[in-house]
Amino acid sequence: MIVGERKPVRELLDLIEGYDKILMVGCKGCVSVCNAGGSKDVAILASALRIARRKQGKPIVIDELTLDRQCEPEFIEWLDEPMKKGGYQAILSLACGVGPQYIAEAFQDVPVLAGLNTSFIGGTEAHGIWAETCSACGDCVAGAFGGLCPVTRCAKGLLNGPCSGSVDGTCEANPDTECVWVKIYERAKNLGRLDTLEKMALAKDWSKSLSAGPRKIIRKDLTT
Amino acid sequence: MSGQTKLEKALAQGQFAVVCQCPSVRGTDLAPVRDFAAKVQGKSVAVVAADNPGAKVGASALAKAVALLGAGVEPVMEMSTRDRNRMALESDLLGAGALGVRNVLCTDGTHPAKGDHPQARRVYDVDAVQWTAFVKKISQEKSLSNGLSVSGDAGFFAGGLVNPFVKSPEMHLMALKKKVRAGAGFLLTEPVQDPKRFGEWLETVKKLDPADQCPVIGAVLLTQEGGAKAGLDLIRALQALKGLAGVCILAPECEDLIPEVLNQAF
Repeated sequence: MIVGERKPVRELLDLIEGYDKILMVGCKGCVSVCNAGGSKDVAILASALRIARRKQGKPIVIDELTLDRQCEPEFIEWLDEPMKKGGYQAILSLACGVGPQYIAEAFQDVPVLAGLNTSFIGGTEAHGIWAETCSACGDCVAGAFGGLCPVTRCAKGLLNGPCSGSVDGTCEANPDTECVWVKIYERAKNLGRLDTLEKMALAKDWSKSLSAGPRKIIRKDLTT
Repeated sequence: MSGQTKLEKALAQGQFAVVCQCPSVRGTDLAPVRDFAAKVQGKSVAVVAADNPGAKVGASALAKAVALLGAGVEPVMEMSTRDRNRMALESDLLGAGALGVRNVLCTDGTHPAKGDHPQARRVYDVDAVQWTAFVKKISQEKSLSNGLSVSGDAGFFAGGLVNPFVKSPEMHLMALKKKVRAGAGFLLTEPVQDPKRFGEWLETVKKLDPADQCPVIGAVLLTQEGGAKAGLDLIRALQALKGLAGVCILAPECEDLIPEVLNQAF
């Protein structure tokens, strides 16, 4: 899933400076799962911002609404009614980076703010802990590495083995992280498939990634 | 520009190759590099020009390499894949060849997180193994990585970096073999602190299939605290190791120690 973190309150206060009435929109998708932008998180944040603004002597009205997902134009339409009646000066989205953009597309005349720092594609390691696992490179080679992705989980994205900085099994760049090459190597050894790591992995084709510009997938079998 | 480099020849002839690393310069005056070259000229078969070592920015490895050449010393130009994509690497390699630089040390390089520009975007378009293979392609097939032909006598002697002092030597040996098969003609190690442990590792390497190994040059790190004496002791211990092809002396920010050590040791 997409994992993100709410922006610091100080930064959010700067973002909403000058507005007296805003609509805060949460998302029940990925950001709900990582406790960053779901309805509970919206409620907590709205409360914190109201209190902070009251302290500043600049009270603010923040209405809350959480959509099933903000990456679906159909769901964004649910904002139509509230926006017509509400008189909101800005919309603060707590979804991942897709949300603010889809909302902006639907509401051309209202400033749209992003309340979340979208961080990565990852999964849950333990309750309250999420880790980056996939970098959406567009040309998955995890199968060649026992199902693990060195493009993402090696800080240098090395495809042919560990760097000299992997001394004690931890990553040179992030000593709190295990060197993924240790995992890849041990797994291959365990499965009796060390031979699959012997041949040189070819240089990646980055033209399939964001490197070549924002990507689009068109499924002709699904389009009307 | 065809024919072996001095370093290549020394290694091929089984001479104990003495290599050292020139100072980094965070500026535009490479006098320290030229002065260093003048002092080590007689003893060092080649001098390494590091590529933003430790992920700390200094004048480019190419500029230092050319300065070394001008001062009469054969350079080994390090090319890390951290900061430049394959286009810039290939371009710099051709430029280096045009300027007379032919020894190339292909490395992954220290991660930016540990250097002085941690906000910089890391590149790693290719890794050291893949870059070594591209250098070989330019040298032997006279072709860029995309198949387009390369003119001129471009021929390079490529090397790689290895770390014998690791928790999982078997895993690192796998990477070592790939570097050799990709085209590395020499291997430089991380600094040796325990000559006995290093000797044991070296024996393992020498037992590999000939296609999976190449001459190993052991690095010796000099520090201000340890001074020349500590370095000399270590060098003497390495010289006694069977199968070691040479030493590379590093003394980051105290390169003045190197000429003294070279004169005493060799």
